[in-house]
Amino acid sequence: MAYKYCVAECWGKGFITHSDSSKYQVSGFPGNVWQIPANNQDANLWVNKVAGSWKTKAEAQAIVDVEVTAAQAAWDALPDEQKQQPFNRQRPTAIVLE
Amino acid sequence: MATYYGTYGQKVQYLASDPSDPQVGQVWYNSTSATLKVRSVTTSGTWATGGNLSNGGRYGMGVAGTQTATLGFAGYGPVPGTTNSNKTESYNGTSWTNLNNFNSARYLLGSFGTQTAAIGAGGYFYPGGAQSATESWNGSSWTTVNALPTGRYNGGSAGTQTAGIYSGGNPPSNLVTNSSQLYDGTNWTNASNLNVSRGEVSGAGTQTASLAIGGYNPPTSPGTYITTTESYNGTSWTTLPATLNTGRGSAGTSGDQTSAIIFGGGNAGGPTAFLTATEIWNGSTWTSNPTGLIQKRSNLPKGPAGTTSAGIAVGGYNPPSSPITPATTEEWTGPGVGQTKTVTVS
Repeated sequence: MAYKYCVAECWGKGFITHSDSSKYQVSGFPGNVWQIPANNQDANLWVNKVAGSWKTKAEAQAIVDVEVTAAQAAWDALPDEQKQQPFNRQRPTAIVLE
Repeated sequence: MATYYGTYGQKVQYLASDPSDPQVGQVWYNSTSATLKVRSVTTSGTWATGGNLSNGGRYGMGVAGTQTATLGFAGYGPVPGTTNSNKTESYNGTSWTNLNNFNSARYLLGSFGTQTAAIGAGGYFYPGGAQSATESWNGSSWTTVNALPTGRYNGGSAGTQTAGIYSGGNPPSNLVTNSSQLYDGTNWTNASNLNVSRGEVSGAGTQTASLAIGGYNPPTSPGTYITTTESYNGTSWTTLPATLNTGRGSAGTSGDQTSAIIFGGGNAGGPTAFLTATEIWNGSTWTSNPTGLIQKRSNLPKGPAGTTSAGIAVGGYNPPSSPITPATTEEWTGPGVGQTKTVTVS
């Protein structure tokens, strides 16, 4: 499936509604990047509703990469002991947008 | 030309506002919004964004209550960092409000009850390790009550403030256990053991009719993410023939022993470790919902909040999400729930 991307800040309730989700899948990524199906009129209208800023796939990937790099640097800076605590054992890994 | 009246024997109602209790199949024209509307039922479940936590994202929180009357407490976040949380918040279906703090900060704890009468038990405190302390919430403050026999985190939990159950999890050794305890509002007593030892197990239901779903065993790489579901009848655990479609640990749940959902969690290392997948339990089988959570998230509360019709996902962990511990919540509407839709005519 082909996708389009936008950046929008999630304000919480009403950002993505059940009506939205029943028509198309919105997937969230780091950096407030949101992925929607391409060629979907309802999804395009959702981007307008949330005042989203359209991004190309490369632009969206760059935003995600910045977040991943920052998270990796923060994890690397942790003391070794803290890296071993439950659910902090895994260094953040790259995300490749589809 | 066929008409609506000719086909159905009724005219389309012309109303200034939507009816308060429309019946499935009812069609009306809303003259205020100039839209044609119909009452239908959902054919599959969907997730929508709910209000954002007021104290930032945390994982391993405790949770209790319903989708529109939720209690969320404790947890860990934001990460990376060292932030064992003692925050307590309530949700009214729209927004989260700060309440009096949990007494001893911790995360990955067991939780059950309602928004006004809940229990938080066990958990993990960094750098102290597994905790045994139990706290009771009366709607306005937390009181320390009798502790679990031993420290434990990542167990599945279910029930009410005066009749709860905490099963499986990780003891101080960081291995896994099949131990189960019952709480009667005052004391913890040993119950029969789970058939399958596991940590990161998710619970649902009541003390005498509960589920232990999925989990992880052993907690060493590569380990096994479990698909097994067990049911408890007040006396013993039975391994059910139906298994999860996707083995997972640290998933969230809503519902009870005969009708539940499980969502999110983790099932592998690497970028695919965190899930959005949602499955629906009808008392005999697990069915994958066509769509999952909006955001991947693991380390969700392992006690249930909400129902199969109206569930809620609170907090969680998703490296390297931004923030890593999402402050967003998500609200679930299950299949078969009535919904009003606008009819688009082109």
